[in-house]
Amino acid sequence: MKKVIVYSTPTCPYCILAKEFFKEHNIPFDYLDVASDQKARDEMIKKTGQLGVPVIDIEGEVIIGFNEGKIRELLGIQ
Amino acid sequence: MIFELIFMLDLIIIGSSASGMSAAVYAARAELDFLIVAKDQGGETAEAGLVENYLGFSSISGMDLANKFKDHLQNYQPKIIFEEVVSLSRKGETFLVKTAKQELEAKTVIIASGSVAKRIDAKGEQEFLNKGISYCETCDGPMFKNKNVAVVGGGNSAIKAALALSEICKKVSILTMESQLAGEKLMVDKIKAQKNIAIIYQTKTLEFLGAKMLESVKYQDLKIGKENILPIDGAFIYVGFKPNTLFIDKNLDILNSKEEVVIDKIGKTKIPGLFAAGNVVDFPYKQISIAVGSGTLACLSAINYLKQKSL
Repeated sequence: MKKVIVYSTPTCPYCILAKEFFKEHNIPFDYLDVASDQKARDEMIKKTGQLGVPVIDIEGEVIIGFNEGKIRELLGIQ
Repeated sequence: MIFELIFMLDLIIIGSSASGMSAAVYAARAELDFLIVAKDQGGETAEAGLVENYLGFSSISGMDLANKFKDHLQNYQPKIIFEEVVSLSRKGETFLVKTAKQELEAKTVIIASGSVAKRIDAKGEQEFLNKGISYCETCDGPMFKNKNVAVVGGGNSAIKAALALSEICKKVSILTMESQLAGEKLMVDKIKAQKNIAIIYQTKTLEFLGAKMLESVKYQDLKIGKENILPIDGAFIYVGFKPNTLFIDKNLDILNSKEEVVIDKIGKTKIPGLFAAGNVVDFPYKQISIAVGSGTLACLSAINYLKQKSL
């Protein structure tokens, strides 16, 4: 199973969509709040150079925004 | 290819926000062979922040409302392709909808592709996008806790964003070109009562400045012509929306000068079989309740068109 990390903020609607998507498909993921977790925020900036959320890291493949098509492709979900 | 086209689809709905999902419910109940093609589900409804004027809900987040729409639609298990439409064109009496990965054909199409946030085309706006500049307070507001931010714009969306930000940020400065705020009176009164919101009227935002991240904004006082620099950590731009219609073949000639899809009272464009709904159409008011209603109209018109064609 690929490791999934979601960098998010509490009110971001697309972050919530991403969380619901992974739950719906029983995919374990780390959900990091970059608004309160400075370490996670720095990590996200290092990976993407920007502050926009969600950032979804699927085994090193980084997606900015909730791109459901791309996520399905990377996880092999039809 | 996810779907092999072994028969002509009755309908493709482009977009899955309020208008698209509303149309899809009607399409499902009419038992049409249809697909939704959308980048995501929720769209502008999900990003709307707190919604207090949608009938049936005194106060609900845009996200929760979008989820209610989604849950309702899910009862019918619609087929959805999560890809961006790159082209819509006509093929004789039918329509071709293309994404990066596939080409789909249908007897009718409902364009429900919504709109995207307008840019102000100020210097540095693109450079600092997601590096301090955002078009979505609900998404990015929490990143600016206890910081100073600017909201560019003076309409309802800008006011809502400023109010929400004032709960999190140290100070919110509204920069508006107008001499007064243009939102609902209830909201304008709330803004004026909020101690950490400053409204700077009659300004033109000229440039966003900073090193790696946004640090300040330069604006011009339109009354006296003087330029000022306001130190900020973030800027939220709410100057309206432009319709998402770039993918539509220009030969269809269904857009007005604002690039909105022109429709009649019941969602029909001038092209037989082509319909549109929601914020992408030429209604002067862009509201969730209007989008839902227009999705219904467009689909009923599509259903009627298909019935007439099969006679």
